[in-house]
Amino acid sequence: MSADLLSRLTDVFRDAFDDDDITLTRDTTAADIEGWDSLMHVTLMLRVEGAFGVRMTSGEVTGLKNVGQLLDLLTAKAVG
Amino acid sequence: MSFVDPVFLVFFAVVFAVHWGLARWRRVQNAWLALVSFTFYGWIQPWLCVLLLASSVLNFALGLAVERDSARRDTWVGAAVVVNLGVLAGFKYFGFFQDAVVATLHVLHFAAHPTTLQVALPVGLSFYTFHAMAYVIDVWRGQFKARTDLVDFLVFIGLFPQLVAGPIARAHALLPQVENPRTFQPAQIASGLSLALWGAFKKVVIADTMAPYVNIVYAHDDPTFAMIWLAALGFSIQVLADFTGYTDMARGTARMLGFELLDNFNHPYLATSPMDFWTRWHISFSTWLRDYVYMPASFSPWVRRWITLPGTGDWSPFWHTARSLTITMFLSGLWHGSTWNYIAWGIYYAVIGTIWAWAQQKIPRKTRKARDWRPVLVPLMFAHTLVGMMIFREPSVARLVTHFAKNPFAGSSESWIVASGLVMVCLFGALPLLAALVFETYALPKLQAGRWWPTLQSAGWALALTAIVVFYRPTVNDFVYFQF
Repeated sequence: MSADLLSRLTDVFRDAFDDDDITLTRDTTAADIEGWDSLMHVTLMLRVEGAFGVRMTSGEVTGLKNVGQLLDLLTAKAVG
Repeated sequence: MSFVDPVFLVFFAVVFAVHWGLARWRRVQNAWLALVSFTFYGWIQPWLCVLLLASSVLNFALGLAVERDSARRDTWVGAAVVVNLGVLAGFKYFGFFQDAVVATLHVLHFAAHPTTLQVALPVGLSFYTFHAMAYVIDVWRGQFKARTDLVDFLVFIGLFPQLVAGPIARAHALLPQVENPRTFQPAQIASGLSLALWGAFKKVVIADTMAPYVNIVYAHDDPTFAMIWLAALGFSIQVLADFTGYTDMARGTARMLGFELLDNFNHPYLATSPMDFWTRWHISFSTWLRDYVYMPASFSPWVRRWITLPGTGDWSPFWHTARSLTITMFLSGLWHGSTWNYIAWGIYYAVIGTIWAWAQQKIPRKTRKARDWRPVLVPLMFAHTLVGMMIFREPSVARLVTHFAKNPFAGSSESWIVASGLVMVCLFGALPLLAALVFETYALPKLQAGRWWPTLQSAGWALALTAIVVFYRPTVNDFVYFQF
């Protein structure tokens, strides 16, 4: 489940950043991906919402520290 | 009290000596800091201390209520937002209602003049209200535990270096520093002194020298195109020197007392886009807006449901960006003041931010990465910044419209002489700032590692102090950001 989720999330990131070289791990942070600023973070999370059919709150979005936490959040929202 | 008031030097010398004399007793040291911070704030108008105390105690209590009363935590955080913003709006937008108030007082046979009422507007309120409100929201979000020591909390809100014009402190950054012992470190004191002196230099020597020339153009009945744009350039240099000068003095004096405040600037005129600009200019304010306005505006169910346009899909990131930026920058403009130019300034940044974000999405990454675009993007963004500064500085929207419609080649020979004088004023302000940038980037790291550093540092202090004394005028202008 987790590997599939990571793979789907990687596709969303690659599409959002227009970069096919992006490889995500649970430890990936905004500092590891060029252009991942606060404006892009919102755009990215909206794309994640669209791709996985979930809704996130601002508290959840601002509290994320790395991709691992995003995966956990999506799992908690019963995305699998 | 202002940092560039000679009285402040005496005040700070006493504060500094007693503060470090009490270093072994942190709680007593904090009580001393709370006392002197309130003295600093109420120096001219003692009643302001009542407002600061009320705001601090209220937010302290609301933080505890949010944490302990889980059944009504949403109500308490809502109360914090409503009361804080209500007080801020009441004072800030009082001007809108001023005439009505004066008329009412006259009816009641009280003599009141608008100027009398304007004096009562509390300096720093916008800053410490945001500071305190963020604390309660952080507790509500579960990002921070509510504090139970009121003295520590009074220092957290009122610590005098950052009280009047920021940087807007955040609980996670400042509260632990208040709650832990501080040790006297000579290197830290020297670094703080250097920063404070450099800040005073920028304020007294650059900003206050430029201000009268810039002000002349904005007070002129019919300035020419060249005068207007050179004044906008002059103002952009003046306000940078003024606000970074204030910030450096705040951070420097705080560092001398053992506190590290957030940095507020990172060479903003080297920004390559509006988003980049807001990560470099007034950083403590823009990150506040990001966390407490931009993010909620982007994900709030209420905003998603009600602030929408027919035919726009809810999943359209472009529409989301435009909507969130507009809400955020409109409120940013409103925070600066109740005149229309600040609203227009906020909307302007929302529009260019949205356009740049759209362009960034449309231009393929390969094109963006094909070369270093900074030589093109930095001047382009600075041109946008100049327009923003023009809107920000000119309070009359009617005059603003005529400024943009001026013929670039019109003007008498006298006006061209004035324009050439403005070029000199701009060079006077820009050259020391550029020299400092080059020095900081290339020379400072090497010099700091050398054995002559203490001597060079002392010589630098002496030079800065001499320049400050030479350029200082008793009729000194207030810091530009004090009005907000």
